[in-house]
Amino acid sequence: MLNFVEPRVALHYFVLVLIGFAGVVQIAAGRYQLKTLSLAPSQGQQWPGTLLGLSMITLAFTWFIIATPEMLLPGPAGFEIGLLFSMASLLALCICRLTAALLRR
Amino acid sequence: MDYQLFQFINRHAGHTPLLDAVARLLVSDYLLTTAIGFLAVGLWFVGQTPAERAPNQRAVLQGGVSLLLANALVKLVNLLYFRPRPFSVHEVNLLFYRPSDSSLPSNPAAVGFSLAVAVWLTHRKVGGAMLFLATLWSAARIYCGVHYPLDIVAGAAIGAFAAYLIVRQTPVLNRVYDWLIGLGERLFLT
Repeated sequence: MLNFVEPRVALHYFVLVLIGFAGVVQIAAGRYQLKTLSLAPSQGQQWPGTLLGLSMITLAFTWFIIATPEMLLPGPAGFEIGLLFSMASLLALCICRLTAALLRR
Repeated sequence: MDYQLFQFINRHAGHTPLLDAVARLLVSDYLLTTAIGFLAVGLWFVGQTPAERAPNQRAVLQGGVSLLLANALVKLVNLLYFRPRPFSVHEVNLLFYRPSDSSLPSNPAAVGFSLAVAVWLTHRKVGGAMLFLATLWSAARIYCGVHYPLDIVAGAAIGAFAAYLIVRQTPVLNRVYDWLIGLGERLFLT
C-alpha cells in the first residue's frame, strides 16, 4: 500500500518536518514557558526560544528547497505525506522532551 | 466562464521567471502543506495553562478528523464524477507535473480548507493565517495549470463543510478528544 515513489524525497520530507516541527515547539516553549520542552536557556524571556525556533524552521525549509530538486515531480501520495508528517512531528516532540530533560539536569 | 477565468489566470504563467519560480514553490506538494500543518499542530501548545490549551488542542484534533472526512468526501465525488485536468483538453501553460486523478474537486483545496476552517472556528488568528496559506496554495494550482477555479471552489466547500460538521455537529467525539488531550498533557507537558 505504501509506495513513497521516490524514497529520497520521502526521507528529505521527514527531515524537513523533524527539524521544522522541533522549531515550532521551541517557539511555543519560549512563549508559554514550557520548560519540559525548551532547549533554549530562557530565564523567563521569550526571545531565545523564538530565535532558536525561527532559525530551525528557516534552516529546514531552505535545506529542503535546495537539496530536493525532485519536489516538483510526482512523489509520496497524500496519505504517505500525512504519515511522514505525523511520525516526524511525534519524533521531534520526543527529542525535544528528552533533550530538555537532559539539559535541565 | 470557469475556463475563461482559468485562462485569465494561467495565461501569465511561463512569462515571468521570478513569478513562475515563486508559483512553483507554492504549488509543490510539500511546502505550504507543511506550513499549514505546522500552524495547526503548533496550536496544540498555545496557552499558559492546561485549561487555556484545551480548546486549542481540541481544534487540532478536530482539524485532523475534518481532514480525513474531507478526503473521504473527495474520494466519494471522484467515484461519481470525473473531470479531466485543464492540460488534458486545452492548451495551457503547465508549470507542474501532470496529476492523473479527477480535476474536480481539488483535493489540495479540500485538505487545506478542512484544516484551516476547523482551526478558524476556534482560533481566529491562527485559523486566519491557515486560510491565507490554503488560498495561496489553491491559487497557485490554477496559475500553474493543474486546476480550474471551480475545482478549487468545490474542494474548498467540501473542506469547509467537513470542518463545520466535525467541529459543530459531532459533540459525541468530545470525550475521545478529551482523553487524547489528557494523554498528551501527561506525556509531554508535565
